[in-house]
Amino acid sequence: MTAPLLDLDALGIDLDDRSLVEAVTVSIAPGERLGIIGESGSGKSLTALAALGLLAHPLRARGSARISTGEGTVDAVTAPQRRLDRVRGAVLGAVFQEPLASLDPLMRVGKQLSWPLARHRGLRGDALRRAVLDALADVQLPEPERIARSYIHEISGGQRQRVAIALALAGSPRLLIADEPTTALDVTVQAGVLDLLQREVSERGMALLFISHDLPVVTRMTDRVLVMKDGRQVEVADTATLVSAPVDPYTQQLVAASRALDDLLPEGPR
Amino acid sequence: MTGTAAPAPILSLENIAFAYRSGRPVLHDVSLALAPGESVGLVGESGAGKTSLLRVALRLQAPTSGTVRFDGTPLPPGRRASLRDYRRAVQPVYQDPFSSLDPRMTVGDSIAEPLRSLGIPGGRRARVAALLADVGLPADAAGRYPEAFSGGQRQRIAIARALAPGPRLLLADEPVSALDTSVRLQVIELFQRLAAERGIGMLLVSHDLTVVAALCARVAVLEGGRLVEEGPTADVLSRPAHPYTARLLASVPRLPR
Amino acid sequence: MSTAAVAVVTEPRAPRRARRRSINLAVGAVLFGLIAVVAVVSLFWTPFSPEETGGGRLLPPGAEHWAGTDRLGRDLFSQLMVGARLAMLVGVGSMAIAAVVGVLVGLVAAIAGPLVDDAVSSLLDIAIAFPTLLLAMLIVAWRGASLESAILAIGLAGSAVVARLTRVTAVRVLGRDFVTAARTSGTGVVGIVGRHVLPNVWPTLIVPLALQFGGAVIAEASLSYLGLGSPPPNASWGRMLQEAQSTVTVAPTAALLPGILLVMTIIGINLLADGVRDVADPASRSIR
Repeated sequence: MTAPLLDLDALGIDLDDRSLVEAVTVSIAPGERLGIIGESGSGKSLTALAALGLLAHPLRARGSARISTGEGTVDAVTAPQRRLDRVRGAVLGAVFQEPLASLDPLMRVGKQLSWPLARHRGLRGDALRRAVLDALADVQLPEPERIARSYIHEISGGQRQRVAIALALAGSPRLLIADEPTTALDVTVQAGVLDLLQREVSERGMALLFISHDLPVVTRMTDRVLVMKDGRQVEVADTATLVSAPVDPYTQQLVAASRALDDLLPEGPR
Repeated sequence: MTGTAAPAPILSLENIAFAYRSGRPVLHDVSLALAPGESVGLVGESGAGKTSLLRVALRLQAPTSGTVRFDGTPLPPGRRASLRDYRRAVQPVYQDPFSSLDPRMTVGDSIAEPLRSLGIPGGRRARVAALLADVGLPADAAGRYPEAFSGGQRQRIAIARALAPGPRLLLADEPVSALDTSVRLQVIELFQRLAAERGIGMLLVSHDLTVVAALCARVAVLEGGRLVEEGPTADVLSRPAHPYTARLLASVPRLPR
Repeated sequence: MSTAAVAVVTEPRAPRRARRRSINLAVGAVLFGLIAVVAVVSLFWTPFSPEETGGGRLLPPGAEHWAGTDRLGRDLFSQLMVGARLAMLVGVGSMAIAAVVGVLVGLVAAIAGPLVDDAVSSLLDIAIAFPTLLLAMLIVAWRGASLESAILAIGLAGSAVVARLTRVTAVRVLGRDFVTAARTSGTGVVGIVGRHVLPNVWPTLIVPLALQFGGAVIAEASLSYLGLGSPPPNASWGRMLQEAQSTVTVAPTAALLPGILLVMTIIGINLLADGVRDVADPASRSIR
C-alpha cells in the first residue's frame, strides 16, 4: 500500500482572523492526476501554496499537508523552511500562471536553469551546460542555444512557460503542481503547453495537481477533480462523473455554464 | 450624408496599416465595415494587431495609412469638439475590470463621466440610476467605490458607462476574458439583450471563439496583422477556409460529450 | 490572481510586526507633535526675549533660565523655542515648494510626450545627483543669506525627487484603462489630469514629502551652522550649534540641546511618515 504523495487533511488557511480556506481533505497517489477547479476567490491557489509551504507571512495554515518524500513524510504546514527547501524541487515541482513573475528577469534563461540542475544532479562545467540544453530541448523549445542565451523578456509567453516547466522538472519531482499554467497564454499556444505537460507527466510517471478555473482544460488534464467554492471543497469525483452527473448544486451550475459556452461551437474533433 | 438606398456603414475601416514608432509593422491593409446594428467579431491571438486596430477605430491612435469612416464620412483629425458626435455614437468596453474604473471615483461619477465630458444635458443622477438598472445593478451602487464590487459587477459598471451617451456601436476588447465562467455567461446575455432591445451593434475583439459565436453574426480572423478570413460566423466556424482559423478552432479546449 | 508574485517567505512572526507598526505612528506623532506645539507656543510666549542679553553668560540650566544662557547672555530655552518655530517654517515652506514645483514638472514630463519627457528626466537625474547642500549654497550665494533663500533653495533641491516620483506614478496611471476610457468619454487633458491623474498620484507623495520635511530641517541647520542661513536675530538650531562649539567644554548643555531637538524632530517626522505609510498603504500588508 503506497503512501499518498500529498495528503491534505483538514487544511485551513487564515489571514489575521479571517478563514480563507477551510477543511480541505484530499490526497494524491503516485502517478495520479488530480485537478482543483474553482472560480476566483475559491482558495484553490492558496491551497497549492500551502502544500508547497510557500504561504507568505500574514497567511497561516493549519491542519496538515503531508508530503511523502520517499524517506518519510514532511508536513508543509509545520515544517521549517530549511526542511521544505530540500523537498521543493526534488519531490514537488511547481509551475505558476505568470512566467514573467516567476522567472528572474535579470538572469539569462540558461543560467536560471543551471541552478536547480546543478543542485539536484550535482553537475558542473560542460556536463551542466549539456544538461541545460537537453532540458530546453525536452520541453520542445527550438534553438536551445539561443534560448539559453536569452533573457525572459526576449522570448514569447509560450516559450517562457516552457522554460518555467523545465525549471520545475529539473529536480525530477514526483508531483508537479501547476496553478493556472496556461491561463495567460493564447489559445493555440495553450494547446501546445498542455500537450507538453501531459507528455512529461506520463513519460516521467509523475503525479499532477492541476489547478484552473477552466473546466474543459481540467477535464483534459485530470482523472479526478476537486471543486472549491469560497474556500471550501464542495465535491470530489472522477472527472468523467463530475462532468456528466455532478452532485452538488454549485458544481451543477458550473458544469451547466461551461456546457452552455461549449455548445456555442460546432462539434469538433475530440 | 447622401440619401442612398442602403445606409452607410456606421464604422468603416479602410486599408488600415499601422506600425509602431519604432517601425515594427502591426497591421497590413485591413479593411472592415460594420452596418448599423451589426455585430462583428475580430478574432486573433496576441500580436495579431487586434488591440491596435481597436485603438485606431477609437481614434486613440492615427493609422500609418488608411481611413476610418463614421457614417460614411472620414473622421477629421485633431480637435475634440468635432469628435463629440463620434464619441457619443461609438463607445469602448475594456478587458480588465480591475483597471477600467478609477479606484478613486465613485461608481456613479465614473458612469456619469461621459455625460459631463460630452456635454449631454439632463438629470445625471436619474440617468445613472437608469443605467445601473439596465445592467442589472442596484441604484445604491452609484455611491460606492469600485473596490466593493466583483470582477463581473465591475464589468457591468463599465458597460453602463459605455451606454451613458447612448451609443449605436460598442467596441469591446476581450470583454469577458477576465471573468469567471458563470459570470461570463451573464455578461454575454447582457450584451445579447442590449443588441436585441436597442439595436446596438458591436465590434468584438477576442481570442475566444465561444464569445464570438455567442454574440457575432459575422467574424473576421486576424493573423500577423492581416485579415485571413471573413464571413458569417456559423459558416466560418463549421467550415473554416484558412488553416489558421482551423488551428484556432482545434485549439479550443472542449468538454467531453 | 497571480500566485507567482508571492515570493517572500518568512517564518510566522505576526504579533511583533503588528506592534511595531503602531509604535512607529505613535512615537513619531508624539516626538513631532511636541516640537510642533513648542513652535506654535513660541508665537505667543517665550520665557525671555531671545535677543535679550541681560542674563549672565554661559549660565548652566537653573530656576530662572531653564536651559541656561549662551555666551552673549541670551536665554537658551527661548532660543530653542524660536528655533523650533524656524524649523517648522523651513520644513513646511520647502515641502510646499517641493510639492508644487515637483508635481508640475513631473506632470509635464508624463504628459508632454517622449522628447520633453527624456529632456526633463535627464535634467532631474542631474538635479538629484547634485548634493542638496551645494545647490542650496549656490542659491544662497546668489540671493544672499536669508530665511527665504534657504527655504527656496532647499525646496527646489527637493523638488527633483518629487518630480521624478510624480512622473513615474503619473505615467503608470495614464496607462490604465480608466484613463483611456476617460479619453473616449470625451474628457480633455485638463479633465484627465485633474480628475484622474492627481487623485491617484498624490497618495504616493505623502511619505516622500514628509521625508522632505525632515531633510529640509537638517539642510537649514547645516546652512546656519555654516553661517549661510538666516542671519543672527533669527534663532536657528544650526547657528546655536555653531556658536556653542567653541565653549562646549565650559557649557555643554548649550551644545547638546539644539542637537537633541534636531534629532527629535527628524526621527519624529520619519517615524510619523513610516507610520502613515504602514497604516495607509494596504499593499504592504495583504496578499492579493
